[in-house]
Amino acid sequence: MSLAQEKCARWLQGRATVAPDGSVHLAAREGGELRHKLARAYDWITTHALVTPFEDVAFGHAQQLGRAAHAVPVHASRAWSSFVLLPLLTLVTGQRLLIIGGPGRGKTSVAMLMAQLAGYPSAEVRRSVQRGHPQLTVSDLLGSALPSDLLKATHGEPVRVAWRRWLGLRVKVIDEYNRIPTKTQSALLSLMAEGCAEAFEQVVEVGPSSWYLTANDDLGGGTFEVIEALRDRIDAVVRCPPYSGRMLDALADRVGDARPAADTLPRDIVLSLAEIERAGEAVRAVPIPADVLDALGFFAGQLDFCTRASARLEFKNKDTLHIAGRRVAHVCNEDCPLDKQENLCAQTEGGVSARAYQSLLLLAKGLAWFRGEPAVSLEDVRALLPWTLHDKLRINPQSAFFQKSEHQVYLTDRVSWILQMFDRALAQRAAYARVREPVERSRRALVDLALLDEAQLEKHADELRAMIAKLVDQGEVNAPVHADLLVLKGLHGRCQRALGERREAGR
Amino acid sequence: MIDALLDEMAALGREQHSRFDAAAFRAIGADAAGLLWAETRDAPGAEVVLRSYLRLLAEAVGMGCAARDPSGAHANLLSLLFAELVPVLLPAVAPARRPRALADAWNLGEGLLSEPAWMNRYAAALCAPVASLDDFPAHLAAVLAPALAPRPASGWLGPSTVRVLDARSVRDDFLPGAMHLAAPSVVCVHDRRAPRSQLGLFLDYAGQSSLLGPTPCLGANLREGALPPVAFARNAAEIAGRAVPLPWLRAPQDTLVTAAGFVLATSADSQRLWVIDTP
Repeated sequence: MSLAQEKCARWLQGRATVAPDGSVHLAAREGGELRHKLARAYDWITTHALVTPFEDVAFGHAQQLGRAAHAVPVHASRAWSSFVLLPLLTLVTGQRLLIIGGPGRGKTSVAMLMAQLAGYPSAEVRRSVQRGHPQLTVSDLLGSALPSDLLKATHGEPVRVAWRRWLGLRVKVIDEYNRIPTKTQSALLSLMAEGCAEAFEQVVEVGPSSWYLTANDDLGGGTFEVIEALRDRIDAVVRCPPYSGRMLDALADRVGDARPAADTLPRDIVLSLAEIERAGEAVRAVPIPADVLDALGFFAGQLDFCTRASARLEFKNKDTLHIAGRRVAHVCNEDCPLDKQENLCAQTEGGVSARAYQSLLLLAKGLAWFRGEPAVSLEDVRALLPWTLHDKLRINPQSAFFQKSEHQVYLTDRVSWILQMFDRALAQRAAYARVREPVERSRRALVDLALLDEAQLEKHADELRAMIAKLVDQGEVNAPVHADLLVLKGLHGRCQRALGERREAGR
Repeated sequence: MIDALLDEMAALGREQHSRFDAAAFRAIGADAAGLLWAETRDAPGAEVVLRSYLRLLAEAVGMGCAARDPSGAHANLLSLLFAELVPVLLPAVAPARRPRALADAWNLGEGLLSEPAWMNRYAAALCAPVASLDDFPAHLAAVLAPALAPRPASGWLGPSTVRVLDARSVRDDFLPGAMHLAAPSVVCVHDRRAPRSQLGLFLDYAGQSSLLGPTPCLGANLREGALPPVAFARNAAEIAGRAVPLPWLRAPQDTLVTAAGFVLATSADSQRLWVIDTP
């Protein structure tokens, strides 16, 4: 049999078959790249369900058109709307997304669409949405004990709990989470943080989930203040765009159709749970180059730094201030020698947790995968940074940076604020490249101290001390220099430990 | 009845496919279904066959596969079959065999979609003149066999055979320009003036190379190592030190050498293609 005959014979076993009544049946289509399926889902949602002209996630070189103050950047490559892109990435990465925006903007709709994309029927999705309200109890959220068991029980163990069905779903939607009472928020925190819930001494595991929470106004507009730990468990925040007056024809079509757009979700964009798992695995396999991590680390190191918080190198951070009950504004004044326009530390009230960077990196992997890129790029990180730090990075409005009229817009536009900080950090990183190079060289040289003899270790320790002294003496100790000093001090400590061990062994 | 069926299948297509183009489906389906129905309506099971055909056509449209390139050539075999051949050729198949022929046509067309683009376009170009759907699987296998057969590397010792092909025989205004190797035996020839107009060319020994007809760009650009030095002069080429006469070739516009022993040239002032084969 020739190769051509072999191929034809294999193709003939395809999904079209003849039924006894003579009709030709097509089995469901399998395979195909999952990212293409997700791209089709994006296209369908933005043309049929949540029509939006706002494409704020763009890549590639931007050409600035028009007058400087109002210049419009246009990109040569494809752009996406964060409002749809972030929920899709959350679906395949199993993250927790907060969707914020005014009433009627489509927050709950986009969350419910994600549940339908995961294959849940619309009726079940509607039933499973947890609607936040001031009377929502832990039992309402998790389930309650079976009354018959309660009557018979003499202790907690035999009481069976009728867990709420939504707990088992892969996609979980919590509507208006900032209207949930504080006690119930704590139960929600356990679910989101640990993936399990407890009632009557029984525990239910909820398994891997993609969470969608909505809030009209996340910065104090809810009925209850959101507990800090719960807020910290949210991986990203996305804003609903306002409705565009140019899109009224889409609304007119919808008015003419009795069915909601979500009920006409085409089957070729619905992902099975196995496909979501596979997509998640593919996302996690996307590599993050060391250069991208270094750039992100350079940025992150500046947010938490405060030279006036302490005289000691290790405590020069904003946590030191906060523990003492002080704020950045109390010390970030003319007594601080650092330039408030240049140094990012002046702009923030604090840094963010390691969890936030983990979320960012996973979403960035997701974005690179979605774009068909072989590895995460700085562009992926930049595109997602505003949404992962949106609710976590606190601004220092008293900073001299914001006193400049052209910077005051950042007090209202957090996305642009975070982006400009990252762009400044990248520019600074490029400017500091020569200063950082010897530090990086030392770090690479001292990866494996076991390869070095005592004399070499002593030579390295001498060099490290000289580098530390030079860095401190040559100029101001700002965040980048502070980060380098910490690295050098750490390396010096390792050399000293290794020397001590060698000497101990030689005795 | 056809209108109702078209509406029903369009609704099904929309339910199934996020990129279903109802207008394209109707544009192809209305004429095709009319033709098929006119020729088969008296046969037993004709309505079932028509419904099956439209269902498959809707699937092809939804998958974005029922498409032509700007030159009008079908982008793939599935498109050629369901937009053009099936409505015309299915009535000639015995009524009892029609469902099987439809299913086979679908499976072959969809199977080819998983192969490199050149193979699908090659198959579409060569199957365009097929006269019957009876035993179409065997026909497709025969069409693909020479393109998939391995070709040993040439020793370039000769003798060589020259074949001069005229692009005008396929398209009146085609001016052969840049060429690239899509597969060891298949070349994509681009029109110098029309950027999205291409011809396929099948390479064969003993002067049997032939033009495959209009095709979308066959895609791949195969790079082969260890090729002999080839020099062109007026009306001749020198291959590995041997002179091969090339009638009417003044100055080559574009040339291509393949490891299997083929040397191709186009000319700035001609619609001809020169193919030298040296097995």
